[in-house]
Amino acid sequence: MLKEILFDATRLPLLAKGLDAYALRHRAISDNIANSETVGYNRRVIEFEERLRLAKGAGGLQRTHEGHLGSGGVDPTSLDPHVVTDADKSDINDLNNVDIDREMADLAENHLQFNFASRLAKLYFELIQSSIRGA
Amino acid sequence: MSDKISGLFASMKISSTGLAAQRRRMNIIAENLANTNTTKTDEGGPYKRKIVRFYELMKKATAHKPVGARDLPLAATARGHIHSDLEIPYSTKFSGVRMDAVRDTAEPERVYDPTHPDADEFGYVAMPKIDVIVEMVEMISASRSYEANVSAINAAKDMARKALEI
Repeated sequence: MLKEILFDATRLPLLAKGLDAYALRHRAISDNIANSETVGYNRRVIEFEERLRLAKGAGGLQRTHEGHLGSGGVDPTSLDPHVVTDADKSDINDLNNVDIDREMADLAENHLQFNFASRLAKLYFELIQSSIRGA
Repeated sequence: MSDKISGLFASMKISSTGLAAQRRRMNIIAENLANTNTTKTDEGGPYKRKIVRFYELMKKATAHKPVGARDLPLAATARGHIHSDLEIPYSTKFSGVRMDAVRDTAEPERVYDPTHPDADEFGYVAMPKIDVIVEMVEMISASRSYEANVSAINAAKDMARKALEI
């Protein structure tokens, strides 16, 4: 009961999902960078945001009560990020389809997103704490 | 590399395989540069340039079945069969890079130098076919790749630190 009010009803489960996805994406990017000179390597990408958007926005109906009909969307917290092998050869160099500049940019972006989500999570916990303290 | 290593630590492991591969590549380049004039080797003949090759490190997915899949008594005996490990855990999908070095098969360069102790009866010496400029370019490339892997490790470190602050 208390857990439901304090944690499950907040954005924390979604933030945890996000942090997991960003950590996984970091791993994929690290692998792409490590293999930037491996012949025939196919870069890997993590699909998460698009799936999240689809899950949340399906039908545009909001459920504010358990009895409400769902819009056919999936519960966002049940989503798992997908590892996709990018076999697109249009942007190929002489070794593979890893563009090191793009990977470094993705790395920086993902780093910031992770930090943002982690800071947001920290903020939520601080909010919960101050609501317990009542000050 | 253990499957138990979660998230960001696995990233660091992957980047460290990249660092190790680039450092070893640098060693190979140094060896090539040091041996540009070597005419005698243990194998006989002039030194042969070493060429670096990279391979993607991929663990066998079947060696690490996800929790729960182990109990499914499915045997995949044909290509179309459904395998018991339907879902390959993320940690087995990427595991970095490895490298090895092979000898260049190019014929040695023949340089006319009758005073050289290894010259043949016509005065020609078989010299290693090493282009110093090519090695230099390789060296810069190795150094850049090393830096990219360092950046990835630093990012992982920072992310782990931020996660500890939650």
